[in-house]
Amino acid sequence: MDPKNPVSIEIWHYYNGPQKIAFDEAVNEFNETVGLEQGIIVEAFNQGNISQLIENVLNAANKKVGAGDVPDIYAAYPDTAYQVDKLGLVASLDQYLTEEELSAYFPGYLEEGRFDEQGNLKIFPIAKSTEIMMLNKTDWDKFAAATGASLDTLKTMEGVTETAKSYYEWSDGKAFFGRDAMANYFVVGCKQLGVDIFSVKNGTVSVNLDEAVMRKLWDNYYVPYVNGYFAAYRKFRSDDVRNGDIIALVGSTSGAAYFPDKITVNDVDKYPIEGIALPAPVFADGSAYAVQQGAGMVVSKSTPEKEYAATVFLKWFTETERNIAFSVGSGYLPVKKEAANIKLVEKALAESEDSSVTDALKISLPVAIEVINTHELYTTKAFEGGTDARNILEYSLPDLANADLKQIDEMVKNGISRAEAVAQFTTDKHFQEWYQGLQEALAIYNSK
Amino acid sequence: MLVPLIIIMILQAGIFCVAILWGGTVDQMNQNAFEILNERVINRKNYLQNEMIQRWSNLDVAADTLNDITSTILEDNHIAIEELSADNPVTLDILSKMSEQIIYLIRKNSVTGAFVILQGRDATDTTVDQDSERKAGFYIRDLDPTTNSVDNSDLLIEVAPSGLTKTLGISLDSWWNPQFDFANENAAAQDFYFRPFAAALAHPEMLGSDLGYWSKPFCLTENDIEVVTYSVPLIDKNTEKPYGVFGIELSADYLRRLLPYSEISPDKKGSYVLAIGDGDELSFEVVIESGPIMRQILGEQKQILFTGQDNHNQSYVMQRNERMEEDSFGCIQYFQLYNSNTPFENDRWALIGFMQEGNLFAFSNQIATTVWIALSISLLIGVVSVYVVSKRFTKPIASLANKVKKSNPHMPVSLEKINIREIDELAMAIENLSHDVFDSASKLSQIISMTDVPIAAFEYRKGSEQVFYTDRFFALLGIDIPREHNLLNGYIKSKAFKELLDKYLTISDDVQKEEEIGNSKSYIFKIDEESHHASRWLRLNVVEEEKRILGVLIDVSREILEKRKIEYERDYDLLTNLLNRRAFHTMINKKFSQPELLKKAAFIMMDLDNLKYVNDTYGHDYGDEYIRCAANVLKRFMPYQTIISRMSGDEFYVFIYGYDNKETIRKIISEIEEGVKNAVLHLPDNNVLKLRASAGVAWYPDDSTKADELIRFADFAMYNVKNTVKGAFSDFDVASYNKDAYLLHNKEELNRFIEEELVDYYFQPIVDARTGNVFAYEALMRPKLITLKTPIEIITLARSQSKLYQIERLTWFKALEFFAAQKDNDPNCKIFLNSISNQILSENDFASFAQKYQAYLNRIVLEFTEEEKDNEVFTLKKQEYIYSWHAEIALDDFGTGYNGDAMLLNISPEYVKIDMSIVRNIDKDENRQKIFQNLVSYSRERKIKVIAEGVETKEEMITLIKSGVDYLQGYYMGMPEPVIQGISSKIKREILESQNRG
Repeated sequence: MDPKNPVSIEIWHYYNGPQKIAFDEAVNEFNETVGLEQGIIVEAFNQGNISQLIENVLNAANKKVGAGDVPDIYAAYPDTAYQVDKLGLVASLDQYLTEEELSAYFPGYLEEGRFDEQGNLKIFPIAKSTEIMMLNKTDWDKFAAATGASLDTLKTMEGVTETAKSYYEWSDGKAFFGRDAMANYFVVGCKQLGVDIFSVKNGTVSVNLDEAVMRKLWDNYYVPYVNGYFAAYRKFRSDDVRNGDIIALVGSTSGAAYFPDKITVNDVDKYPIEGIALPAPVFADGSAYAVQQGAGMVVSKSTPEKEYAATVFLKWFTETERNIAFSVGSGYLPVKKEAANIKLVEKALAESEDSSVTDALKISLPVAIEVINTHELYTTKAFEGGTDARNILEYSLPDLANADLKQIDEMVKNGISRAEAVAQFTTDKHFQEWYQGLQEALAIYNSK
Repeated sequence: MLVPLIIIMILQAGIFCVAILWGGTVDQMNQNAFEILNERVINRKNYLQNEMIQRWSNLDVAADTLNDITSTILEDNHIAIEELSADNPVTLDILSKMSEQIIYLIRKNSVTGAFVILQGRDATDTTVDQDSERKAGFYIRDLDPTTNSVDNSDLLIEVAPSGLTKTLGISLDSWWNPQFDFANENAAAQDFYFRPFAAALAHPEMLGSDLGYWSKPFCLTENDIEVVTYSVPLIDKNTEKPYGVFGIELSADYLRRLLPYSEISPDKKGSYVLAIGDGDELSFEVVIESGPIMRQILGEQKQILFTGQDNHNQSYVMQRNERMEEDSFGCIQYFQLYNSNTPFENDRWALIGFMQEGNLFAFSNQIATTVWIALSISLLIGVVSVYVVSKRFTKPIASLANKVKKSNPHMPVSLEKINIREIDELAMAIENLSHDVFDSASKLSQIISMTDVPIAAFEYRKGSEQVFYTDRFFALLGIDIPREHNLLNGYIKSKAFKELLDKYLTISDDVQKEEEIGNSKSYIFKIDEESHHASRWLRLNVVEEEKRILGVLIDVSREILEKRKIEYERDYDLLTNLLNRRAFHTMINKKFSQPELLKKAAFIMMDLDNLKYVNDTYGHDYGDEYIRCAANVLKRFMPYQTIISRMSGDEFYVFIYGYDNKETIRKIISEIEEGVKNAVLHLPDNNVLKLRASAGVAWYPDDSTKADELIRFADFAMYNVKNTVKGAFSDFDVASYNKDAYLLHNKEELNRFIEEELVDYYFQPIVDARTGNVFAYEALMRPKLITLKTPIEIITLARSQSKLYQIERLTWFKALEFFAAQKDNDPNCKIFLNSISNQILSENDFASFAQKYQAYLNRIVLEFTEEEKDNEVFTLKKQEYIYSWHAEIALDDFGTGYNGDAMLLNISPEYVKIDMSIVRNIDKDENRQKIFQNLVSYSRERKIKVIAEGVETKEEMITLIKSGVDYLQGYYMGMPEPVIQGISSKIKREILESQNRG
């Protein structure tokens, strides 16, 4: 590396809002310190959301018109990395890291990045997240005081469904709960109930849609949703909480920063609230699995200088203190064992500037750290078409639920009672139709 | 020795230093530094200004769309703009429609945010309450405008009603609000709404775009990022009242990224500041600063002040604060964001590039430091060296010098070594020299007397009674020494010596008498020896020293004679023994330097008339004789206060001067004229040839008092004679001089014209009157001179200078050269050349022409011009060539001038060209038509083709065709062009049509 003739590294990510601010701060700090000394300039670009970023990377990798060059580093899940790797464009990172350096990271995070047949490290973990439950405690307390509801009920999926029903009834028709990532619900839900929905062994994929498990998932999302106990109005559930439309959510720890500290109802009435975080609910007879998510960073295959420069930045970024600092600014979780220390994180939180973001993170981060230390973290292995398969899971149930809800609203308008209208949809037949449809849709991902 | 050396050294070093440090070099480098800074800031400012005006604040189209949305929805719902309060459902409807536009705007204008805010109550109502300050609106942000996402997942909502957030599918920012709340006390965060809105109320006549406002940086909510906005009022189309504001936002971080301070100074020690100036004062409020240096200097301070002094190119010194250790220079470049006479024009936005003095002048400071260091080191080395040298070297040298001084000059010296190699060598050389001198002194006298060189010497010691002389001294003088004076061995009494010298040496008057070199004087004496009728010259060199006088006497006769011969050959013409040109001018100038001696004078320029004839007929020996004959006549007049010279060839100048009246001179002139007339040259065939000369006379001081002018006038008068009567002497006539002056002036031009062939040839088409095709081109001369533009001028001048032959030659060769160079040269096309009829090329020229342009010979048509009188011999000769080449002849300007019917009969041409004086207006003049028809029928009988020249109108052309013309030439058909041109299809069609009609 020659400081006078610096190597320029382009990073594509999908961070927005506080996460983007935190990431940009880190990039600037790197450029002015280590980057300046070693002759590395890092430029970071936001590419929208993760799927947009994936599309842009794939377009660039496939040299589509107007797509530009593949960036030197980009955020990616194993599925995407897998696709790009097949084009021979992903650098293997083992050579740039010593055994000692590697051993400092959570092995599960590294394992996720070793998706090719040789088990080379192809995704560098920089920040992870899992799911937790966030709750508007102020409004919960009112509800609990009136009905005797207990937070303990919220430990199980079934409990959440049950509580949502009684909240709906207590609040005169308001939804209680919503969740951001439906694919996670399927993947982790299945795993809790003992099924790998996509099992990948020696390169062969099999899709496992256990009917009983599916029914459980149906009963604990579709049914309460069309009943109006669960809801999803906006892009993220935290936005729904902010508007007073729901009071509880299951979402990524990285989205916790957006959990509001005040509620605005009807655009006018504002009141402050207190938040509370809980581990995400688990099926009553299921094992304690939590989702492992958060894209890692893929380094493009190029010159040794560039690849080296890229790992210099990534290693720098995941140094314990900086990794914690990024966590505290963004809600993401540290990737090094040493950094996933509740005391260090709490210390950093206490030292950080006061804002609504840090207020939310002060609530969520300790719970998140607790989750990664107490739960098994789980994610599906990368496979051909994995991204598309996840997308099917993401939209299958909510799309059906929203469409049915529309019909129900229509029927209610026409004078049929809501309970009657809902009953027409929560039938075994309707479940079977959906289940068969889903099975057909996913069948193509089975290896032949 | 030490002190002066050191002084000189310090002086030199000082000059060197002053030259570099105060001689402008450092200043110039500093100026350059300012210029570079200025240039960078201007570039960056232009870029930003362009972005701000052309891209970011380009809101006109969006304003129209938003206003359309409002008016449509208001009409549909039958409500007024004042009713668009936050709680009105129509407001949500409007904002929902507008949100698409605002999102489009954020993408299109590449900004970090965009917003719209609705007033929602009577615009003039100024009561303040909680509700009224909550305004409905929509504010969206894209932190990274360089990349876009299809599903808007890179956007964040800052402000939007809850209802709208459900439909947009865009995340809410942590600081999301359903409405704009202007009830808080942060005035800076409200300006972006209230200032343009108030401006719209105050200036109802102004366009929305003139009311646009660039805000100072502010945070929308307490914890939000810092932004700058540009906002314009929304004006209702019906009531023309403002009902809200919309605009774009740029985050401070994004702006900072567009101010790469590292470009100011590569070591990142520069800074950019985007600032708003306050009126004309040099005081600025910081908007955005980039670069750590500026942050360090400013701290929390938001105000920058400059001292009023413009250092260079808009660069000012920043007023110091306690954080600054040295001066900072800011180069201020103002933006043009607001039109004049708009509400916010006093916000003068500027981009300021900062550099600290040390950094700005780093280069020149480094140079200055280097100079000082180099100076100090060299001074130190110098002083030490001088000291060492003086100690080590000067002393022994001084003692050596002393020894040499004290040594006996008559004895060989012996010196000690002092161990400095050079000096020891010198000492040894002195020793050797001393030995040699001692040796040779005794030999010298002997040797001199043994040689044959006529040289002798004497020595007189001042105060002594006697003079020493060498043996031959008196022999050289040609005298015997009287016995009584002679003393022992070469000594003579000094008194007698002087008397003898005085008596026998007369200083020669026709050679340079004496010259002085240092203390030596040199005299030349002439001794006439009656016995030989010859003269001898002696040179006496006398050296006078403090104590003695030395003299050397040398016989220099041979030298003097040789010198005289050379001088003669230099000044005289060998053929005639008259003065040559150079010597003549020298003498004339000498005479004219004493005009009082000139009195009346005449300048005669004489030129022999028939020299060329004599040379050609009898050979050059007789030509020389002819010249000598004229010279002999002139030589007879030498005694009459004349200066006579042969200028060159057959030209002679005679200057007669110093007479009291013209009559006497005139008498001499007529005698010269008479002498010339009577002189004859005897020829080998026993015939005699009379000498003939023409001469012009110019008078001093009547015609002119200047020598060169007299020469010119006499020259002119002579040429006048030559060109008229020949063989006469004539006085200069001012009137005729003035008339022909231009010819003389242009003589050189003409020579240049001929020598450098400064001529272009243009080609004018001659068109077949039956087919409309080009039949031939006439080559027309175009001189490339500024003074002589037309061929007529060239011919006139050439005639007066007898250069017509060269012109004729030029015509043949150059016209064909240009013609041959044409690209689209149809081999059937003929080329018309204008020959001068009393000139003909020499046989050699004809031969080389025929060889060079063989391929073109049968295409040539030679035009016989009207300009010179017919010369039958030449015409016949030319016809011979023409026919041998199968070329043709045309008679030019037929019907005018010399080329009349007789000529036609003489040369029987293939073509006649009818002059444009007949062609002009032929369509309107029956007389001309008749003459023309006669000419045509006359020519037809003789099988001569008729070419009409100077056809300028369609009507002329048609009349000519009807009258039976064969070929047409003129501007109507085509101008003369350097490149041959075809005939336009229009003309061709007209020709064919009139043929059919005829």
